Amino acid sequence: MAAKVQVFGEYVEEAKKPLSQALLVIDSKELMRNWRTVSLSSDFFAKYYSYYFPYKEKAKERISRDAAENSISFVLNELIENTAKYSNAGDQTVSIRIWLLEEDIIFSLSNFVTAQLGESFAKLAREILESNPEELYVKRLERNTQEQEGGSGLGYLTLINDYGIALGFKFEAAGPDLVQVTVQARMKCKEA
Amino acid sequence: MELKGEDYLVTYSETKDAVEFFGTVRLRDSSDYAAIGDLLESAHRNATGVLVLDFRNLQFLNSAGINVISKFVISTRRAGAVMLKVLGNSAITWQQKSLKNLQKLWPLVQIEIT
Repeated sequence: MAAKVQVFGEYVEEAKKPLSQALLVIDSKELMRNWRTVSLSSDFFAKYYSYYFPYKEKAKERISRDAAENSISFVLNELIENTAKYSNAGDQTVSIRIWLLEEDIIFSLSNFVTAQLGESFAKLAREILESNPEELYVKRLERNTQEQEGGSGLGYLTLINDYGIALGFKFEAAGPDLVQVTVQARMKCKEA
Repeated sequence: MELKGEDYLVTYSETKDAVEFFGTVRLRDSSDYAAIGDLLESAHRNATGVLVLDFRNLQFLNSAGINVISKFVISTRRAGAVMLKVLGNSAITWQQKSLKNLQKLWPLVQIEIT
């Protein structure tokens, strides 16, 4: 990786005055071994943070509790799946951080990859951010019909297109052939 | 014909010409999805007229699973032998948000979200 740090998209180092924050640090090998724990972790945080959203009858300005739980679970599950699948260097830990703000909820996930994987991931991140996401989504699916999936970016494109998510990426050299990747997804608390 | 996992059930009924999904399907990758892909393919082979994909009882499907369904829609469009009807549940957010995308791949897919 040429530069020591590369940042793309909407990225924050630290959220200012979050109403709530949570951090889970876990070994990606455990997530891979017990794959259902990815879904379980997503469901836990989704349920937990849904309590900050109003019941449907009162949900005029914000997403309703049920919808928030569903969306948070989908979004977080995609992000955790990726960190589990694509951790291939260092101690293979994954950090899952959540910041709840007044207007948004930010999911910030970090993991470690080799320089080569980091490079191809950075290329994919740039391509996604510079694209028309709806066109790229259809193009990828039409092209991939016969191919195995993996690193296609379709999950990220679904988050952008269907959940109104703003994505940010940071790639930071953490040692010889070691890159820390952080992916951030910012979801609006109001109905998109 | 049916597939059963710890969190899900997928059935194909020849009499109903329908593939029904239940529970949560969040499998890891395309090799884990191969069995569901195969079930869809055999439903396609047996179907006459309209094949129904019923997601009304499917709480979650991850993007890898959405890809499997999307690719099935594309291959069915290309084969040109059967039509597809998709049933969704308006109370389940992912279905509200993502099922409509199938029409971008094939405008003739019928989608009913109730």
